[in-house]
Amino acid sequence: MRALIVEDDFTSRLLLQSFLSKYGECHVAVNGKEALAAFRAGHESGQGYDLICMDIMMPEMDGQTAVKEIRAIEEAEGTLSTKGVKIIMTTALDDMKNVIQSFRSLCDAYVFKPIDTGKLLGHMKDLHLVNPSNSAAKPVTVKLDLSAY
Amino acid sequence: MLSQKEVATSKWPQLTDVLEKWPKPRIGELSPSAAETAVEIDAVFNPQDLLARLMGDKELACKVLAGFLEDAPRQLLALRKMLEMGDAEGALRQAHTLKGAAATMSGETLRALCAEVQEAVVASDLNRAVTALPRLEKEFELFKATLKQSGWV
Repeated sequence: MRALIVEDDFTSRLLLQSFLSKYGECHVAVNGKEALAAFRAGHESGQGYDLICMDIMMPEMDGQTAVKEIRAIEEAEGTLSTKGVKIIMTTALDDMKNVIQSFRSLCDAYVFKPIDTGKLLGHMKDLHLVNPSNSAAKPVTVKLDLSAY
Repeated sequence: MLSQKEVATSKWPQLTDVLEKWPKPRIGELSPSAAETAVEIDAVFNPQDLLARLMGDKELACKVLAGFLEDAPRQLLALRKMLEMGDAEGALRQAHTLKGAAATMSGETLRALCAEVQEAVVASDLNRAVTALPRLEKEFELFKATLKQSGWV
């Protein structure tokens, strides 16, 4: 899994990065503008992100605007949001207006701050980003029994 | 092929899920006296709350607490400068960011003081926000001392 953490607060960024690193490669952006640049760069290089954790209130460009822009890029390419990058809003803004606006902008989930890693992981499982049975991703070797074939 | 509008509608179950899990006050479930005691004990730093939110990962908790202690003074200074320069927009965002970080670190009083500054800025009362700053800075020092005393950092 490749994840992009978009967060202007160092502490929240550190928490998300430390936690998500257990599940894959993590990149960080400190505002919506940087997030958009990182998304475009990943997209163009063929190494797009599987997950974006997006804060809302940030300098330069807020998270709501960044999500709209990302979905617009995907739509212009004929990719619907269901097939596009999974976006989880991670924000302290718990008012109804922001929640509804985020879903209208086609986010996939909304996690309130303070971040609860268990809840975040639950959403990641729901979005099929991690194996539902694993509490933390570890390299797994699967031995297939092909004797019946 | 689904249209974006149909996709948006398909996401409403997730929205319903969010609304069902809307944070509810927990202290109110306690008796008044027990609630007061709990608030006093946990107000500066609530390690149980922090560990519960980090799935019991103490190593992660210590790492993030240390990061917060290193970063918060810079944020406090930035907030003070913005308020003194009359930069309401910047101060609002800075107070919001610091409030989020304090909540992440389970520092309830620190979070509440950040909220107080934020509310004053929203009310265009920058003087009140500046007046609240020394209490916020003092609370951060108390938070830091509590973490050191209890061996968290």
